[in-house]
Amino acid sequence: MPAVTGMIVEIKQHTCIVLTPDGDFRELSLPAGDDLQPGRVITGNPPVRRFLWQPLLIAASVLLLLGGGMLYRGWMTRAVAYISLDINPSVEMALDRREFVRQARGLNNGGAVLLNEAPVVGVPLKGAINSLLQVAVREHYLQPEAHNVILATVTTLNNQPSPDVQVLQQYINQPLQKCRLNAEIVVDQAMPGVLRQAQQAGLSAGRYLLLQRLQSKGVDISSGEINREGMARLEQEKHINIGELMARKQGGRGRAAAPGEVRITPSPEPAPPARVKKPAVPMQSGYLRGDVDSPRKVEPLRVMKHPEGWLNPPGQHELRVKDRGDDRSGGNRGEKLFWRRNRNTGK
Amino acid sequence: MVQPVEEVEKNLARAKNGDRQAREELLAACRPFVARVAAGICHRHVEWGHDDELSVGLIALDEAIDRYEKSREVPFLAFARLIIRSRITDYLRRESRLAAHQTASLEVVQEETGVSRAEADLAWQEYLARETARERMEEIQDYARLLADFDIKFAGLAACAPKHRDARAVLLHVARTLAGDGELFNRLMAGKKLPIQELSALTGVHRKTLERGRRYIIAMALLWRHCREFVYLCHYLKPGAFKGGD
Repeated sequence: MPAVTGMIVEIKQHTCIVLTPDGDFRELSLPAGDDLQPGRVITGNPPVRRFLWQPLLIAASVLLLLGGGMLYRGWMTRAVAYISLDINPSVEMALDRREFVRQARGLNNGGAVLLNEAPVVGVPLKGAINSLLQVAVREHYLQPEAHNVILATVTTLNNQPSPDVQVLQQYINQPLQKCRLNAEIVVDQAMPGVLRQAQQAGLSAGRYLLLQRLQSKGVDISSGEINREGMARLEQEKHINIGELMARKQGGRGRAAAPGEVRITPSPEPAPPARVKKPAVPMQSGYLRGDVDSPRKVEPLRVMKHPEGWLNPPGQHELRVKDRGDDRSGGNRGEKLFWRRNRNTGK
Repeated sequence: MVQPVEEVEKNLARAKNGDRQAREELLAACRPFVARVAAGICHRHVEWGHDDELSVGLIALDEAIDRYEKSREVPFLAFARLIIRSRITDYLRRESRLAAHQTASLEVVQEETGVSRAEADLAWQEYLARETARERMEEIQDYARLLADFDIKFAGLAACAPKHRDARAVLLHVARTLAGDGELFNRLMAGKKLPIQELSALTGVHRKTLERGRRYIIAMALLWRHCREFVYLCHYLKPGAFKGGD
């Protein structure tokens, strides 16, 4: 840029404003010299506007860190699993990757009371369950001399890491042992679709599964009733065993504890650790379900005792049981096992 | 009526070449200027025919015509103002008979102290340089104050002044038209607002252009209108700006 000559009209810190002979006002870099004052005619160059890379880089770094941090935080705090806890109060908790509770809501009045007394958002799952059960004991939802049933249901979203069923049962056991309470703990797993349907129905996933199984068994019960009543009372009134019912898997994932399997009896001595049924191996097409330790250990008799048979996950084959006189399939007592495609999905 | 600076310079050149008519015209044209300088020194209203200071000032102006040298790069009116002030100051001191030995007049110093002509010239050169620098600075400060009445700053002018020569020439033409039109200029001074509609009609420049160059037009119109006060600035601008605007 060519040098500009002009009369100084204003002096700033590093620049000056000059009036050029052709009537232009220009800003020039202040030349060296002590006797600069307004009125002096100088020749100089416009100030070079340096592009300030350093602040720009700092700003970009800060933005990058903030953005990355926010993304990481969002990733870490996103709900990856839901756990519902049903006693009579029903509470549903959303867990993040670190198994911290990110959201919690009471699904009935009792659930709201529990959450009001024990705020669990931001608390690890273990602490949250401990707080909720302590409040449940204090509010007499769980009583020492009564028959207590706790139904916990785990729903994992999009193949995210889910809380271990055994660990979850330990989390529930520990506060109960401290309080010396008898309790039947049933832990089940539900598919995300079931959770969605349960949320639409205003129920916990556990209660929704229970409702489905009761209705399929022909028990007359409404969603309002199942949401209102406690687990123990439902067992008494409907003459059912929740542990047994939940053993009839619809999704084929997880295994509910049989009645009496998880029972903590208060005694003067330290209570023995609760015996927990390990989760079942996911159903493979063409194989019957077995335990983790011995996948080949099938239970055909138990399955065949149910006249309706039991269903595999949608889209897979289903095992049907028909009572026939012949014994070509090798089944016992004249019953025949055979596989066929699921009617519902048509696959 | 404002006499353009270049008219003064033209008459000055002819007067210095011995044109009596031009000298008379120049002296007549500069009588208000002499009166303003004299009133500034005397701190009172002075009137032709009554106050001797005006006569002394007019004689000093005539002397300035003879002594002015363009090579000094000092505007003639600024130079003449220095001479007029000097002579009137001498007259007032003689009249009051106070501090006659401390006179600021270089001529008197020469007469009374007996310094040589060369020393006197050197002292005069220094005095002239010092005084012109001071006056120039004061003039710019006065101009800045005048602009401040219109909420205009030099930094703002540097930002908004048209950079293209043609665009600048158009706005300078508008500024000169505004300064030359007494009514429009009075409206500007009274309302502190540029009469854009009238100026647009008068100059044929689109009102959007006038609005964009509002601050620049006002600044240059003020300078042009008060060119007798801002002699240094006007003198500096004269060759490129105001002539180019025509």
